[in-house]
Amino acid sequence: MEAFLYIFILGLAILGTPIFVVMILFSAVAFSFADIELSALAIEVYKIASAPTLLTIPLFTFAGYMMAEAKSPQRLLRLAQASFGWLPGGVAIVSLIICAFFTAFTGASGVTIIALGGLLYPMLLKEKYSEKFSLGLITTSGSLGLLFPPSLPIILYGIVAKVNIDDLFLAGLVPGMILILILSMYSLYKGDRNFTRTQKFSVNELKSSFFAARYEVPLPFIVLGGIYGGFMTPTEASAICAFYVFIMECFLYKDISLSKDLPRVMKESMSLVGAIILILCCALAVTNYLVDEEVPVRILELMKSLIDDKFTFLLCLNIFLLVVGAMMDIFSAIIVVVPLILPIATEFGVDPIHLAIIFLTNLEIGYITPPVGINLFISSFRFNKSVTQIYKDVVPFLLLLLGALIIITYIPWLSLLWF
Amino acid sequence: MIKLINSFLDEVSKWGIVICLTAMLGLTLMNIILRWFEISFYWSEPLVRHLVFLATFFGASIATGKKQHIKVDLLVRFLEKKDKKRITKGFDAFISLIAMTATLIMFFASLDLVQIEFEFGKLEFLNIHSGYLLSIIPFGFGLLSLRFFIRVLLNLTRPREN
Repeated sequence: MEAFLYIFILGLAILGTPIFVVMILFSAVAFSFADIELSALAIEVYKIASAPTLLTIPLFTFAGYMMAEAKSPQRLLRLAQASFGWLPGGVAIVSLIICAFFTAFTGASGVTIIALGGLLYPMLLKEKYSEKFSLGLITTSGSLGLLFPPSLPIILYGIVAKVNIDDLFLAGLVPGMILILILSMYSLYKGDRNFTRTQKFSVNELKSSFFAARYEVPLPFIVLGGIYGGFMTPTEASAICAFYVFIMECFLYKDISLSKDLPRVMKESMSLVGAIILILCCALAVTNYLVDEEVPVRILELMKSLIDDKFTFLLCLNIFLLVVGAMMDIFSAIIVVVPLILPIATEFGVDPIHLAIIFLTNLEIGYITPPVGINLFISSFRFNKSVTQIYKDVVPFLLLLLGALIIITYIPWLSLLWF
Repeated sequence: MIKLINSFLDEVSKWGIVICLTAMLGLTLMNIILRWFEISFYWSEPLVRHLVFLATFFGASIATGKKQHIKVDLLVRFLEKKDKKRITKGFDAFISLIAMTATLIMFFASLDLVQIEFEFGKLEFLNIHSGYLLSIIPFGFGLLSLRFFIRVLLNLTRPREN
């Protein structure tokens, strides 16, 4: 009976029942069969209200949504183009950097492709990049930057795995830059071969574009400098960041009207945040139950009988996470999988911070892995192309990122050099 | 009528979010500034955490209205592509019914907990009884349940209007 119910719930999940509902049903069944009062479920849900860094999620997301709603993407794009656009392949590199910046602030929720795709795609085509390359690049960039602070998945990982968020922010910097670097080199190579028209470097344009984006430029420095200078905690940094962006977009640039736009932007950002935190609190019940039932221990014993060294373990982990990343969205994946993987990885001698970076890189690649990576669908929707075309377009990017993944996985130093 | 209630709940959730978000931002900033003067209010941090918790449910209520909950949406996408409106609607009604049931389970489970808490709980920050803090859970799941119920009704009634 119990098994039948679980299969039924799994079926519901595949049919498209919201994940948090699946979590509730799963734990309700598990608790009932274990003779635990259902009110214990509510206690599990309430645990989230004592997570100290929870506030960072709504505030950073709110800041990101405000910027995406305002003309910040255009201003930053102009600045980046004035700085790098004159390089061969420069426009592609600009796209990568700007997308990374926005993904870090909006949490890889598809906002990047929707907000920036429309601007970048014609720019790339104008520079004589092929349609195939341009679509592949934008689709890939939609989740690039996930390793940079203050990205939502990093914060969520920190909360779930109980790892310091500021440590994770630091650890992601170099691996994140490697991903951008590898894709930039590919863009340079593509740019040269197609004899891309490069625009001329102009000091005046650089100056005026810098002036136009003068309020946005200090933002990463305020957030990062504040945290690592020891002036503020990540939670305080999120409040400062949200407040700064609010003043900037509502009063300095006047892009967002207080009465008309602001409540809507708040509503939209919180709708995403609400959906994520709801899964988080409902999943706490499920994962705690699984841990109580010693499921991770059993998986560990099974794995130990099959795998005996760290490197094989990491390889299996990569394959497993790529599949997870392609099947599930990143937020549910972190919430559900991390508590199960963490004890196993520790047993195999993988540093928890390195594990976080491996985990997030895998899921980042999962976003563009056919057949169900979410970026593929967002791109297909945004540019009105068939999903199968997008599948083909992302293949070279997918291979490059897989290469980067191997580097990041097998050279732990890249993630851990700060510690 | 159903549509009216639906948009009313949407408005309530929206303004709930605006108030919660403004308050959490304001309180946290206040704390940072007061720290310079070496003043700190012990109640503001737990209050902010509960505001996030409350705002979560308002946000989830919006997501329910806009069908934006995180889910495995392969089948839904497939159905939409095939343009089978009636099947899509019936299907969404079914999913919403399941979701309504699950949120109702949580509503009653947490209601039990709140009752126990009012009996045995204690006064927390700002002398708020812990029972009131826990009441966020039945309130939130009650709200979600209502919204899923309305979604079931909307899916079943709209074709007739057309």
